[in-house]
Amino acid sequence: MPDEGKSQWVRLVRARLAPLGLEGPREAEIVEELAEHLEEAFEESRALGRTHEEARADALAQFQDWRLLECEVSRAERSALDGLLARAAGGAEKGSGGANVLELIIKDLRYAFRMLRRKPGFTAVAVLTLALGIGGNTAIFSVVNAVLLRALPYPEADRLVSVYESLPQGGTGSVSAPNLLDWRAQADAFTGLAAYQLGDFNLQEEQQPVRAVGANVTANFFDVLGATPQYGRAFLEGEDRAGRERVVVLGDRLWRRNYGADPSVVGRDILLGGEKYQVVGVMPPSVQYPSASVELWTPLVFSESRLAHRGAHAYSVLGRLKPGVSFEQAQEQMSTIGRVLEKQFSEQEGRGVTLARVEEEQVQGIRPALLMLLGAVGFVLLIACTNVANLLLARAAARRKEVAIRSALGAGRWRLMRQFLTESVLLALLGGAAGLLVARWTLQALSTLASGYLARSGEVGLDWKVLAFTAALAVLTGVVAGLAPAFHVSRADVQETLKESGNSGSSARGTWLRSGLAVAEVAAALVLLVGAGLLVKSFLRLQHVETGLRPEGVLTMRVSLPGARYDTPQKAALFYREVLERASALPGVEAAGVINLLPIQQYGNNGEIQVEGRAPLPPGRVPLTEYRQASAGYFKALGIPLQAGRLFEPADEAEGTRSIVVSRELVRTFFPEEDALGKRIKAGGGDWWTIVGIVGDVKQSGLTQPSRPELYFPYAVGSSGGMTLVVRSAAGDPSELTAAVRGVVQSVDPNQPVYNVRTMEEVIDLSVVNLRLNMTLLTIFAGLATLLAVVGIYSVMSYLVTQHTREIGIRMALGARPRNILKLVLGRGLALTLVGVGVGALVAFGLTHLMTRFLYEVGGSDPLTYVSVSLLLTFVALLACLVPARRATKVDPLIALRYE
Amino acid sequence: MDITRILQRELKKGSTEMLIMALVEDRPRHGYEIAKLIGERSDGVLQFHVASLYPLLYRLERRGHIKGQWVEKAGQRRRRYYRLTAEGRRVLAAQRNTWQEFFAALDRVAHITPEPTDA
Repeated sequence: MPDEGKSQWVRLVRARLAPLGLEGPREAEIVEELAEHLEEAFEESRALGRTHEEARADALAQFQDWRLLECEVSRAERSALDGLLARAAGGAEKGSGGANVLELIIKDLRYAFRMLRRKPGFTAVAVLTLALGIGGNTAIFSVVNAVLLRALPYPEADRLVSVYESLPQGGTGSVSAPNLLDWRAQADAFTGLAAYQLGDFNLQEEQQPVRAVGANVTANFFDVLGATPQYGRAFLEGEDRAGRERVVVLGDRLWRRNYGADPSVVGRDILLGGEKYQVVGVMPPSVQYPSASVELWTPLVFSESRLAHRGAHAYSVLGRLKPGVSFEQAQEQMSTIGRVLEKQFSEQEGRGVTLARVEEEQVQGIRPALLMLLGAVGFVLLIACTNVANLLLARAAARRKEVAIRSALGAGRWRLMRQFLTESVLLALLGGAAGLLVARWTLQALSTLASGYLARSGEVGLDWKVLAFTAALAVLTGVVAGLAPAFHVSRADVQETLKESGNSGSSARGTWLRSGLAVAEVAAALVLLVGAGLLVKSFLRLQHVETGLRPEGVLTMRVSLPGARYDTPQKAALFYREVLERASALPGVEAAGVINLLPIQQYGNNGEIQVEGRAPLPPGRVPLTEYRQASAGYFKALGIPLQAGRLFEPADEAEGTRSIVVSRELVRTFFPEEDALGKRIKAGGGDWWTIVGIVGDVKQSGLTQPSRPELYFPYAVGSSGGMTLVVRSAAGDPSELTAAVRGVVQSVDPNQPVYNVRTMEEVIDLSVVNLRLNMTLLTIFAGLATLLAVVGIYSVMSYLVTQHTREIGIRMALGARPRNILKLVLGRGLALTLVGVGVGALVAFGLTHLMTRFLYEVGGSDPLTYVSVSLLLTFVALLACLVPARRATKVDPLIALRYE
Repeated sequence: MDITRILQRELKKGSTEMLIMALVEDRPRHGYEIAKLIGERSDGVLQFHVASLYPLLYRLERRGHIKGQWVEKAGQRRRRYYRLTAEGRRVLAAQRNTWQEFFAALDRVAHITPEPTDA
């Protein structure tokens, strides 16, 4: 009953008294106590015979001034001195008493939490800054971890090597079957040597034929690799001999997609290129060799002609080193064998044997880019740390008084440093946790951006290693960021500080430290900006590279004719002629053609040529010429100009007139002074061919690679299984022609799939995807770095303005105009920025040579890039200084001086 | 009149902490009781506003001179009782000492007869 009265008073107190902002239980306690007081007074009045209303008024009369009560209670509860006295006393006690360490840590943590909660703005900025730094690092490290650090999923993968024939021109090339057999017979450094060859397979599935990438492999391939099937078996010895080769091992992806992950598929027959193959095994998802796109393996049978020709270099070779044999020993042995073979066979002239570690090969292409990005995010993290250190320093300066009092009361230097470190480590851990989120999002964005680009991108994920790395990074960041302020503060001269007046918490040392940090941030940001600027410039340059063709309005798609049904070049030629005739007749099609290797994608199928009437040059001294097979319509469809002579005519294809078309570069290389038309050349042995036409150069292998001499055979001559259809649309989006052209192919052969359907512009885009990815990421990191550095400059300048309010006030009182003050502050900011820019430019100058491999027609010290990013950074930094500078001009001299 | 009030205010300022500690020296008391006792025992000369009493209690408590505790006696409401701590006892003794010396000095110089403030 009486409590009912009290709860009514509690409500009243809560209504009258503004929230005190204390911890929940304490505030409730105070409210209850005040309510209790009111209830006592009320009851006493009632006992004296006063009415309910009168008694209520009496009680309330005791609380005349609620505002004053509010203030006084708040002050009593928050009294800094009281709090410090109590805490410092506690600290001293613990220090001498040797209390348990865990208790101490918990106490420190609790205090740190309170301090961070008291400054939500500071905490948010610091945590966010760290989250961006740590998140970026975790994301990139996750990729590095998956791609570079994680071992290949095969037992003792460090013993896997690729074995190549080394070429007279330098570099490595494929291996011929007789050489492989000799190696096998003579080398004892390996447990096995397996050959393989990538190929396309048409997989017959009910109605719709689909295409799968597969590999033809010798029977010992899986043994050498160390791969065990999840169902069924690998190949048996002898299954790579004619008559026993109709067996197939499926990859996990194909097995799931086409066979519903049904283990009973083992033993069943499937149709590959029109032939029956028995499924003997299914590999686990981790087995993706020689490339991630491989979905099935069939035995590789060396044909009679392959076995007879030592010069037919067609295979890749994988070996496994015997235990105890080092890579160098194996290389030594193979070099010796190579020299013996070179002496024995004329085809081997100038050719040796080269080994490469598979682990390194798998990441070769990507490693430099990843290391560059890792370096870039490292810089971002460095800036983030610097920023947080700066924030902590500013706060430390503001808390010097507190520290001075605590140390006067006996808190030791170690005790104070521990407290500051606890705070910054806690901050870093919060930042690390938030950074993990950032990393997740970044990785998601990355995998979208880089799909199909990273060798093992499927394995990229946040795992324990990455988690440990982040945690370590977070703590390290905390220690680094926290150490400077902690050290700085604990050295503060207690007496000096206590004597100082209210607002001047700065010291020359602190200002120097903070300015130095800001300079470092600007410098680091400039380094990243220069890197990003160089990449952007390269990318822009690439957009204007002369490709030699008109890609707009062109659709391309690949067709692979199975050897079983198209067993002669004539059959294949017939197929393509039919397709080209029907495709050209389609409405909206301007021209249609075929070529065996589309430009931009890669070099390949090249060799040396011999000009009639000239003595053959020794091998290795002739520039390599690219061989292609194309139809006349190809040049029209892709917009490659005919510069002299004529293109192929039907007679060239049908009657075998031995006519070829060559590129301008070939003419420039081999006929610099003569008219090439009508000249005859020989390509890699065989017949003489007459040059009938000269066409423009195209970029065969990517935008950054030079055009090699190129010669085109008529497609019908030696037409191979795989060709790319090239169709130019008369108007509009070429991809709208996809269905119609696919329909044409199926109308000629219903079992023939098409794949890699892309517009030519997409083909070009794909060729620069690496550069685009590097550029995008580096630009994002540079933007982030700039943002953080600008925040850093801003915070330093704001802090300086606050610290120098009095000085500014005096200047203004002595007649300085706002303009002078503005100049003063901006000048200071500009000086900091310029020093940072100078230092950054020097560092960038030293570092950018590391990234020349990513650049195109831009030097690592490109002056325009340096100047423009320096100007940009300076401008942005000045903008950031403008805010505190304007605030400085608004300083009221009277108020500034009274402040003391 | 004015001078008296100023003197009263200043004297009160210096002595309130001692008054409160003295009141909870023998047994724990709650806030209302303390306010009432100060008024009664000083015959109304010393009046405490709620706005100064409770903040003072909280300060003393934070300093460790007194200790508050919620107590619920049978048939009564929950009240917060304050008692003097060992530390408070030392401080109180020291303050009493100071005041005694002060009044003794005042008396010797200005011949006042201090009213005995009883605990």
